[in-house]
Amino acid sequence: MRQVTPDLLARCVDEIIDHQVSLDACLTAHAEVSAELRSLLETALAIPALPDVTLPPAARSRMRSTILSAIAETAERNRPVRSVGSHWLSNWASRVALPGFIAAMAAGLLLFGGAHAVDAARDSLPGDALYPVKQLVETVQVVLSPDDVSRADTYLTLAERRLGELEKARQIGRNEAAAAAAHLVDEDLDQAGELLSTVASPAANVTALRHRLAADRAARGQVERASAAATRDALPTAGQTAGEGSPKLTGAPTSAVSSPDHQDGSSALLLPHPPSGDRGGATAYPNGSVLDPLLADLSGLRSRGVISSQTGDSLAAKLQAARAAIQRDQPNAAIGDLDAFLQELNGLLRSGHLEAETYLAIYPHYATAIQLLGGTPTPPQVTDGSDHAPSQPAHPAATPVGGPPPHASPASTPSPGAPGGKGRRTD
Amino acid sequence: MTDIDSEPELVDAAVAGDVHAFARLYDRYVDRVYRHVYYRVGNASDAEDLTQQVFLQAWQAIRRYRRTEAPFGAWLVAIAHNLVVSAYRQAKETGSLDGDVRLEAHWGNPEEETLAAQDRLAVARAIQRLKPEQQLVVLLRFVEHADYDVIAAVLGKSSGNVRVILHRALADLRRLLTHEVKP
Repeated sequence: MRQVTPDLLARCVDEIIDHQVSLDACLTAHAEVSAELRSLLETALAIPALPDVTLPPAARSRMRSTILSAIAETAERNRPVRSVGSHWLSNWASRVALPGFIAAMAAGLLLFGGAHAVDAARDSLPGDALYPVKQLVETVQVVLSPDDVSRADTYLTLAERRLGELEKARQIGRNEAAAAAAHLVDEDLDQAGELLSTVASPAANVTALRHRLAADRAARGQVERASAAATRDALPTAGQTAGEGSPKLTGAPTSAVSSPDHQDGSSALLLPHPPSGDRGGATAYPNGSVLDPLLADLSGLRSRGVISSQTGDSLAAKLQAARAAIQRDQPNAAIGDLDAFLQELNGLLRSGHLEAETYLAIYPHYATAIQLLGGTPTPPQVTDGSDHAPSQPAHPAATPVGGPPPHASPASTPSPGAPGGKGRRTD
Repeated sequence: MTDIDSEPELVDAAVAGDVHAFARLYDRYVDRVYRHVYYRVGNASDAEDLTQQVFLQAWQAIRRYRRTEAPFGAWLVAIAHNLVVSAYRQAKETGSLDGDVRLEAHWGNPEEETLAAQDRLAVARAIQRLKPEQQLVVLLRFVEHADYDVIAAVLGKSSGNVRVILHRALADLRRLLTHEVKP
């Protein structure tokens, strides 16, 4: 007696379900097993279809928030190291590059309503203990934005917030926080720009966002130009060295680049810190902002996990020592600290902990800082094959490692054969 | 990046860790997963909880997902199936859940006390009594309309094995239904 085989049953099921062949037609085609086949096929056809239920929109939205908030926590633990700025997630991941326990705490705060902590985090600056909470809240805001236009809107809001932080950090002399905020502004503006470039809609809100992006970029550029002018004002003029008389300040007056909030040009963001004490006619030296690019580099290395926390602390300590020396008007001491910084980078390069490309991206910032302090940079351990000595110091705020801002001018690399060997003042 | 829209690209990006891409996949599949889970548990509250868990588990496991092996939707349904089976197993152990009662909450709608509704309830009950693997094959083939290659990819078995499982599942289902209608 013949039986229904799995293949025969599957074939009949396919014919009925996928090709709309009737049950009777199948049974007729396989009359020798029709009784067994009928019972099996009738059973199959009795299986009910999916119920006509829909997920309520409120539940759908609530679940989405809960899922993505939980992911924000787990993604931090599992995320791979990525290059900053090349991908949406990398930007996102760098925003939540927190110690696991802080991420867990922040996610918990979000999930269970830690409104006080979130409020307290609102005024924090990069480097503050609660800043990660602020970043996590913002990350969730970005992720929960329903479409590219609203996401661009969110990025612009974040960029504007970062500009405020940048100004505040400069005003209170927190240069490392200012450098980190500047880097984040560029990232947010880039993200908004990318999103808006993919939107074809001529809708009024999209046009408004494009105008807003342009305005924000202009504001960012203004900050950069102001920073450059501040540094330029603090530089010794050509041929002028300590003891040669009062400095001739060059460059545009700072009032010309004042921000809308500081129409009188008095913003601490824009003006260089005056040298302390009576310099007896000595050259005016730049303030600690000349170290901003290096601080931004260091921040990038840390957030990407390129260097360990211990190494990061060690490098940061050297930059802090250099800044303190600058504030004490001791440029030679600052140069020594920067040389120590470079030596540590050299060690990382030799041990393979730092790629040559990354090293070469940082080196110009070191060289520029040394030159601004009146010294001669120690040649780099490796070169990129170029042989161009800088005739002018590169912009001190240019191109932090991990993501060049679109407005930054390329930093030049001092010649490996530059005289001096060690970074020493030429005076 | 944010402008990708095709499913393969979204899936690849999500596998690479892109939360935004995963969020889009959620938008795309949440209704389907929810309906599937609702089909199994019969009430909105549990269906929402389990659907949420499906996506959380999917994110945790997404690095193991291979786009070439099974469609993303089928993969999610497989996760949903495992969660539902696990929930029922746990409920049985703790005595906190009567699967039949839950099913009746949906399939035995008092406003729809028709013979057809009772038949659907009987079939739904019988499906719950199949072996987990048989349940999944039946649901994927007859409810989700997945073909045998897809089911095979989800189960990690050959297409021929899937046909055998389906054959046994329908035979067992038939027996369970016959038994159920006996006085």
